[in-house]
Amino acid sequence: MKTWREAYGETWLGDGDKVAAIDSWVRRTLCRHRELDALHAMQSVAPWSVETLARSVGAFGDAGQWLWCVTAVAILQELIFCAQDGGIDPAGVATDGDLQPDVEVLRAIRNVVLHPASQLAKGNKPPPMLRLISLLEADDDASVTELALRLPDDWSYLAERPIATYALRKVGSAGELFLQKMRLLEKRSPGLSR
Amino acid sequence: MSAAPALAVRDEIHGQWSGYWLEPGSSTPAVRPRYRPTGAILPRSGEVNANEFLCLDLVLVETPSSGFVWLPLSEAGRYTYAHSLGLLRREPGWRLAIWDAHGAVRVYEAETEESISQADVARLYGTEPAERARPDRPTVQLRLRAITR
Repeated sequence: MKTWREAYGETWLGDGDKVAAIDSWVRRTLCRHRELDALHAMQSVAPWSVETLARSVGAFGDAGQWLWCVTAVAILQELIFCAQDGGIDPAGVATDGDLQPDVEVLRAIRNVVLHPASQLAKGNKPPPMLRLISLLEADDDASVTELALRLPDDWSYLAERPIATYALRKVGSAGELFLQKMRLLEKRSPGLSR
Repeated sequence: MSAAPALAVRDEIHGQWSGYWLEPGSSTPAVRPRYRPTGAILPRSGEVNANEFLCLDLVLVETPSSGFVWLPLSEAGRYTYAHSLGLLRREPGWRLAIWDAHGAVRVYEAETEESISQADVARLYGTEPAERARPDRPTVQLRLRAITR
């Protein structure tokens, strides 16, 4: 099995240019919502930034703090994939056929870790954890599917490495596709790049 | 008059082989895992060589109307699965273990082959996988070779 640092380093989160490209796009997009000029995009425009969260995902994983690691992924995905509309729902290319399956999984993770008291079904929607378990059961990583078998007995098992690895893979996949479809590495503004 | 029944979609594709992906360095389980298969492949129509062959890489995907169904993996989905990401990076040692009804296991080493269009999926693999393949993205093919373990 790869170390956390190896797995992290293989994704866009471990690639400074890719992180900077997404970070810059999110900053500029958030500034547009508030009608701020491009100069603001170089400064702090929101409580979280892509660069900060990408680093946090790596650091929490290095420390074996898996639930915090997954939480950082959950915030990161919302910051990126909901930025276009400035709301809490995915928008733009995050909803197209390529990204939607990954983004849907990431939202299922978010609903579990960021809404921890939500444990009841709503209408015909199962509790967020049961929805996530069904997604985990369909994964191809044996450690993830084996954990999915234990989760129904104790939802706290979510705080284990296979979930962090799974979340990292999904945000890694969605981010790569996002970079490609938005052509962010081709059209970065020299003034905002490092 | 009752409404016409919705067309039922089977979760599997006719002729698919279901198994379990093994990451590099992991050992083959002594017995078939009790959870749902983590992988599946579909050999080409009329394939007779069971030791080395080209096939489609099938992945379990949630659909809005039919629950989880096996679909041919497209190039857009290669980052999202552990095995396809590893194969995309040319990591050696990714294997698919397939158990038969008698409990005997056969293990295949996998590597990525040239992707093909939906029309080629129909021609080489049949209409059912073609209908489940994405029309706008090339479909991934694998080459499997039987190994001892």
